[in-house]
Amino acid sequence: VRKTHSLLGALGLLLGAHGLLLGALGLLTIVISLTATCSQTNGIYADIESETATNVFTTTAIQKSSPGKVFRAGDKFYMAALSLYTRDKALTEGGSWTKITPPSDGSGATYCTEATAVNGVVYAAWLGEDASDAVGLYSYDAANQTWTKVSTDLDGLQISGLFSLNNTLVISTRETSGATTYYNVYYLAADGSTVTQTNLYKVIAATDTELKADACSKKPIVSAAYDGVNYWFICGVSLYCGTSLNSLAKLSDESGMPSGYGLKSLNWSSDLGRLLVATGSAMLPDSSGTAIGTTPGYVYARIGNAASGATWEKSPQITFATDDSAPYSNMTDTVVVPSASGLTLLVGAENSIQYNSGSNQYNTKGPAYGYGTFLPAADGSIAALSDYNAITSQLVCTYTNYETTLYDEAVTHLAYLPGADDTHMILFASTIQDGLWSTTYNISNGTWGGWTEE
Amino acid sequence: MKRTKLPVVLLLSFGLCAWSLSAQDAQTAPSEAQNGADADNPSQAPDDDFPFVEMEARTGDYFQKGDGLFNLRLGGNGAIATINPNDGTVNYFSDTNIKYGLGLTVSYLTFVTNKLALGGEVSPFFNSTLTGRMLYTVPLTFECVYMLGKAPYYFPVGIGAGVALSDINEYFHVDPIIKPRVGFYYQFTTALLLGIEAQYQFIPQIYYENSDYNRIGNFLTIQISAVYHM
Repeated sequence: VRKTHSLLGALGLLLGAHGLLLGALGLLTIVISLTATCSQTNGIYADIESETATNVFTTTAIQKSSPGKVFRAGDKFYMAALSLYTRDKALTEGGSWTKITPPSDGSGATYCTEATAVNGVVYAAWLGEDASDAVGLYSYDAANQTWTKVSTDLDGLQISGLFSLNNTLVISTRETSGATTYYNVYYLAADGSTVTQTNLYKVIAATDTELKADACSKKPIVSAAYDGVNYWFICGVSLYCGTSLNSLAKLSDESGMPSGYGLKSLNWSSDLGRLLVATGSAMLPDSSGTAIGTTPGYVYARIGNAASGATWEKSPQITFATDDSAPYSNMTDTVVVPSASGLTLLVGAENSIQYNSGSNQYNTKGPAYGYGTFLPAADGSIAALSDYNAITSQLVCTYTNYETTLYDEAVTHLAYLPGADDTHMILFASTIQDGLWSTTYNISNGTWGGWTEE
Repeated sequence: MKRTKLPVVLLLSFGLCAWSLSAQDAQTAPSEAQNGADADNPSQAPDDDFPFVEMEARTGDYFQKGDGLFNLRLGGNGAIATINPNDGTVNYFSDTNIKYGLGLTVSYLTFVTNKLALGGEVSPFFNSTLTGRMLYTVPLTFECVYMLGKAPYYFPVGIGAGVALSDINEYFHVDPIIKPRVGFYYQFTTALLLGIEAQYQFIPQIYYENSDYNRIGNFLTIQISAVYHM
């Protein structure tokens, strides 16, 4: 009885002295419970449970995918490979990449097909579980790890390319209607509210006679660049340019411009003062769509960035000394990096196409040829590139201290980006079926760290 | 639910604890003076060192009815397992995708007998996840503790129950929580005890709108602890 009285007395004391505290806590929790448990789109533990490994590149599936081009926004690098991945800009090579959770707004966003950064903001295009489901364009808030749909103007369109040009997000789209695919190009307004159609496909529709009528009504954008004055696009085997996104026109009247080649990529090099165009093997169709021949790989360069009347240079034919029977390689991407001997042009390469005149057949040669390193002239000219390593079995110049090469890798993208501070740069190489590689350049002593798989 | 609710809740909780302490000081001093005069040492009058002089003079149970314990703890925690009640799947330790984290605990207990203390506790902790996201959990619990042992060694055992506020990215949820606890303390001075406490946290995360999300979280927290006896 005494104990019971003591307990009751204690409860009374507690409730008396701390009744307000307990009541306040209780009220607080009731209010939060009523407001917080509504409108949940996912379970917290369930959501965490669905996360995948932090270093995604340790998995075979990711290694066998084809990483997109690496870009930097803020203090992080990003790269799309069906999902969007990020890693810190730390100097350490072979960095640990993290898979970013897709938008969870109920749209069903599953696959990230394209991504880029404009003014430090990451934009990504998402598809649904059924890859034909276009989900839309989203911007990513890295600080809060949240997604925001950018515009509903693109609803229903698959986004096939995102380009950062002159601080403007340019979006190429694809829309299928029956057996016909329609492409288009838009750009996002500076305030991010609306997208506007460029005049590119109006021009193409009016002038292009190179298209196979039974394959598609138009052709997709392959690459895009901005040289400080002009916007550039590759569409099919043609170049389109203009000083604004509403005044694009097919380039047809400049001396030495690429003609009749499969055009693969555009890069403006301020170091060389040139717009670099990588070309590749192509089965050129005639007007009826019949293949009539192939072309070898070259790099073209437009000298300067004048709005019109510029002249072009053509590099020597880029061949692979170990396989002369397949000289027609696809030049995939270009990047200019420093070296002990001055500026070096790196040219990525992938599978080539070989024409056998005896059997009148086209064969794909492979597996791949990594990348080549070439020395431009002191004035930036590439007309007589020094074939610095001859692209033999050793794909790496002797003046670097690369520890490994990317021989036998199909290098599809090259990106040279600032690292953690002003003393280092990182060169990323995206490959087909062997993941992402990187090497760090020490600006202060001019040495490369060596290729490491990310 | 906005993320801003979490800091608001924390501020409110700490504010309430602070208010509780000040209220306790104001209300219990005369009461304890009276108790001290009535009980063990009726001849001793309250002075500037109250209540410690009164505590030092105690015989038998060091903790007595009406005493207060202000407790500050700091330490690490980890997920033991998450359970999917829909299919019985259990993910243990690293398979939960929840990494080790840190936590801070502030509590206030009042002895309702010489052994049993009741009170409240806020014990926020955070854990990073496999992909680097941050899971914040803020349990707000009512605590019941039974004090075992004898000076200078004490072994409190108890249980807490209340709600746990969980937050990660844009997700926020309030769940019930039950957390048994056990500790070991050494009494350094009349007012100060230092020790270590372990808590097991059982958090059933229930989603009425979609039971597919239901999971049961099981965490273990081990913290170093300082107790101020008043």
